[in-house]
Amino acid sequence: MKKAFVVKSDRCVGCHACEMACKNEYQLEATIRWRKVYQLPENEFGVPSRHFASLACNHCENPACLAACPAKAYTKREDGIVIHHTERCIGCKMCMMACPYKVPVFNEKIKKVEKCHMCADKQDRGEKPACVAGCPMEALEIVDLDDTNLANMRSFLPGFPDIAITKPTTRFITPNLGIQVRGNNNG
Amino acid sequence: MGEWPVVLFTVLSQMAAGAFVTLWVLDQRTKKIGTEMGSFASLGIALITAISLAVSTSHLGQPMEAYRALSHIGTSWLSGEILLFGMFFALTVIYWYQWHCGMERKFIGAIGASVALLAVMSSGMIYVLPARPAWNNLGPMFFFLLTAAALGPLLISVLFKIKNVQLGKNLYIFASVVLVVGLTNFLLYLSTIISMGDIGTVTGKNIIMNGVFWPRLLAGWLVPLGIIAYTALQKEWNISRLVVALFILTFIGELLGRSMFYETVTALTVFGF
Amino acid sequence: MDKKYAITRRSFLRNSAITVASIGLSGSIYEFLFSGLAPVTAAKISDVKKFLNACPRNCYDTCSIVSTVADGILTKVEGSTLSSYTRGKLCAKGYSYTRSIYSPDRIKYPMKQKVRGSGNWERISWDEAYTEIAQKILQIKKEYGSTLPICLNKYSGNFDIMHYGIEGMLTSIGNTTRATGTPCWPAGIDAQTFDFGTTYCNDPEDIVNAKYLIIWGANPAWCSVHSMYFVKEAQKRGCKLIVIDPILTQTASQADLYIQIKPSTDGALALGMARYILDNELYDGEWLAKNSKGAEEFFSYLQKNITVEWAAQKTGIPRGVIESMAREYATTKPANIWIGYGMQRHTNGGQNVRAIDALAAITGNIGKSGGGAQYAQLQTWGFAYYAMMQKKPENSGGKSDRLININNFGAEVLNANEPPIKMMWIACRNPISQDPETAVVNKAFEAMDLVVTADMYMNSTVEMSDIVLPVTTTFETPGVNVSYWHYWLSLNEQAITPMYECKNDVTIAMELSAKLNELEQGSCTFPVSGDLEEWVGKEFNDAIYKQFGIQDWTELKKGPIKAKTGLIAWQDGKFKTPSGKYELWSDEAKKFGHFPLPVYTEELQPNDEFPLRCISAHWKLGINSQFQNLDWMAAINNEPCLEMHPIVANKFGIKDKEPVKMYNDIGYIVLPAKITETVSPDIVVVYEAWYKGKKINVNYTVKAIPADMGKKATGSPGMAFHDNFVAIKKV
Repeated sequence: MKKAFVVKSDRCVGCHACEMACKNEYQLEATIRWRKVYQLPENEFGVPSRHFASLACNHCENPACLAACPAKAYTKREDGIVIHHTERCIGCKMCMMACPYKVPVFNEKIKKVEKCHMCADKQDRGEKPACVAGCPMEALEIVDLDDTNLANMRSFLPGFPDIAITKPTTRFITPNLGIQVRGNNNG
Repeated sequence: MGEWPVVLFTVLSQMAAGAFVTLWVLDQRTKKIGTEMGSFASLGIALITAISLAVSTSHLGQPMEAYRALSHIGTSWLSGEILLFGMFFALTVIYWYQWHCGMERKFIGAIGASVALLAVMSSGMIYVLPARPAWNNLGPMFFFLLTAAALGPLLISVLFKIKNVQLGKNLYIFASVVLVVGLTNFLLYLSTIISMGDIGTVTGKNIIMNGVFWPRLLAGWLVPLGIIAYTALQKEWNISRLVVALFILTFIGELLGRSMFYETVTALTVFGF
Repeated sequence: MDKKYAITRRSFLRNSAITVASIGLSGSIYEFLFSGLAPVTAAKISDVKKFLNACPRNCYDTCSIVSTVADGILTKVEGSTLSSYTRGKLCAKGYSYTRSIYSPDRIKYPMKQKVRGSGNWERISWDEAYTEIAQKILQIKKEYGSTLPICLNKYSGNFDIMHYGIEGMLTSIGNTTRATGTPCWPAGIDAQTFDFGTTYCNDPEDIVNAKYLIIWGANPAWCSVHSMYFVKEAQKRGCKLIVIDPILTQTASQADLYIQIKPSTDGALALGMARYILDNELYDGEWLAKNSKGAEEFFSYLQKNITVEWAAQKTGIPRGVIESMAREYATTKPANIWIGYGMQRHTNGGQNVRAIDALAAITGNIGKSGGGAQYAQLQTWGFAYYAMMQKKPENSGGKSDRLININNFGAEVLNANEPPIKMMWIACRNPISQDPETAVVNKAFEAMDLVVTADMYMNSTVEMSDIVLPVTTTFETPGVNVSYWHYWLSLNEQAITPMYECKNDVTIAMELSAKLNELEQGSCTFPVSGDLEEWVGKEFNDAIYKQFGIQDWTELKKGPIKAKTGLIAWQDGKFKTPSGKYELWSDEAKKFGHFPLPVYTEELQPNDEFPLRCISAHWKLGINSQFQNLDWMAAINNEPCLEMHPIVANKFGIKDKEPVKMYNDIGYIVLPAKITETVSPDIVVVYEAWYKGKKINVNYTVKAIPADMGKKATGSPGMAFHDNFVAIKKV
């Protein structure tokens, strides 16, 4: 089993509800964001546009955080979810240096690192992750990569760090671009 | 210098490692180092190693739980580094004890020197991370080894000077070679990462634009090399009066350089952020 | 050396090395075995309850919320799955509610500052506050013979029905001055009132049935994200989405066709399309004959005054695009138009809305599922307004309330005479932050004897007040909410006890009434006591019960309920105009000084001195001056920026992220530039919001230019916020 986030950038409108739903679920520290909505470079798809990708942890197949951690504070579950165990963390921040996606964040209050755990506790109860359930556009989904046939899934969008480093499981649906008519008053 | 714990830990531990190797090599080659001198020097090395390890824990969010850093040997370079420096520390204590009691110390010295080298290399490997393109090469390891090679002999000279023991010119020739190699390596590294494009170029620019870039070059390389060159021209190798200045300049240079190392690195960007 | 010693040392050394490694290893093995990789067990929570709440903000979506309260603390909010509009989801603002309630910035108790604007606040008791306020009211009454010098400025900070008790409170002390009208949407409301009789939209869930949808000057991706879901669903079912906007917004980025129009020329586009529809006989003559008044006059106007050429030149949109859009709109059935509020914040906003309404009329798209000209609805707002309906006291003085224009508040307060305005009560409003001509508003505040503001945070209006009264959030008090867009009715239960010393505005009214009557019996008719939940119950009437198919409001405790009738606007064809028909020709409009047909009124143009138009659109992380001040929002973005096209940036030598000064003759702001091709080269964009601790407010540069319409339905003309002309320069 290989649980993965599908980021549907064709549906995402960059409203940040997913980020806030996550923060709301876990009552995170004010400055900590486990999920972030990124605006994609505006000229990436031919014509200028505002498109977005919402990223949390990519629950990589070869997690750099897990390998770098000296305290063995990371494990990867059977279903693929990469979990950070707070009790073992010594706050050395190696995982933060090693992660190509800047996922782990340092919690100044408890002096340990933390990150998205794909709401493993909720999923174990049969519920969806807070971000997936909270997105008003239904632009996030959890799939099992071993068992899915979403035809238009891609493993990266332009600007996403080299996937060969850690083999992230996050998949993307590319934005759709419509026809644009700009006034004949600009160059 | 928000990263002062790791700056101090790496510079001090590398200095101790280099000093250990220097002392062992001098001891084995010249056989002229007195018990009191060797004992004093090896004690200094052990103390500096202890301080560096203690300082390193304050880098952690949970210093009192630092022992868990040994949990992932074989996978995490940080675990490996802690293990090796832990072993190295134990060996420096034994080495000092052997000096102190006038015991045979060839083997401990050899093991200690090897562990010292491995420990420094392990420290370097921690930073070889694809997520940080400017570090994702042999750079970190070379920087760390060069720190050890520069500060180790100079530390030994200072310790010897304190006990009024003189050292021959070979040590200073070695030190100047190391400094030249260090400076060259740094400049080559800079040009390499700048030509990498993207993140590498950004990091390179960060380094050059950094406030301590010129102080680091001057204190760490140019002025010490100048001093040694002046001495060489005078053919006056009894430079024990300049040794302390040499050491302090190079030490400051290494601290500045290490702090720049941590400060200037740039990670891969995610969609440009 | 002694061999004996050597062996001993070697084994000693070997053992030492092994020991060191073993200690480390066994330490980690010990940790591994005994130090929890076990799942973390939930903390011991004894008492978890769920409550129904509703978001009372000035927002299309007015979400139905389910709150989780553990041991008396609100631990999270979720969207209610019982509403097919909320669909179990909130927006970024909604999800940040816990942070709004427990923000360390919340005002905890009544405070007073001796010198307005000094920041030297001292805590006072509620009794002290009421005493001072009551004494001032009575003193004014004595001096001026009435309470007309007391002015209320209240609007949309909280749209809970019971909060109209604030208006009730002012009524209950006598005749007072009221800031009347609305900054948001009045031009469009008047337009729809002239055309249809009132503003009335289809149930937004019906959007999925459209096969052609034009979103005209609206950005639901940020401002009505639940509707955006239905828009996407419509697209999935084959609807073509057109978005018309000077800014390539997040909504526009989802469009099948995006049209970048010259701002304020929307009426020209609509009329151009109408001309094409007329010429090609694509109009629904049958519908017009049966349901409309003035079609002949309108067509005559089109033939004499409008050409597609002219429309193309006016709007900057190529002729071919206008023609093909006209054809598609007229021939795809059903076709829907969503008219945005941003679009009508111009001097010709009202007329532009009339022209767009006319498009829907001539193509017979009115009164149909999947069709229509959607703007807003007030159909679900037919409450009893029990809290609002108070009597004036016997010895009131003055003839009636004096109405001043909320959109020119500062100037009208200063100009008020016989009697002048001496005291303000501000609630659910932040005029110093949100009004145009900030300097004038400040002057008005300075001229007051007493300013009382009921609010939650130390915002710019509170900073210029004498007394601030801390109020409750929607989670700390009962209430009831409906939306001006969807058709759901949500009860708001009290989920947690009020924080600190905060009170509901109605409680404040009751207690102030008690104090007034204590000082002078009969000076205030507002009830001096009452249970807030009972007050909520009293807001309901038979009309609401019938519309929502319930017998008693307590049924709402099971969940939000949707209106049973009237979900498709004008389906019965009974328009509320004087003629009972859709009025292309409106005599009513003529009465208010407008041309009776939906003609084109020239847009305001920039001049050489201030050549750029600044559009101050709505922001994703806040609603007007709420939410962006929270640290959760600041963690995402804590800096306003000035969006501009690269051509503009190049012209003024401005680089991305560099500070820019945007200025005109009344004010300026300095903020970093954001260079983007998603705004047209004739505009710059600032998103209006209140950033905590930052003195940047786009309204410093906004003049109180009125929109053309608004007086009929709302009492005052609207605000042409987006007719703000500025210049920029590198700092």
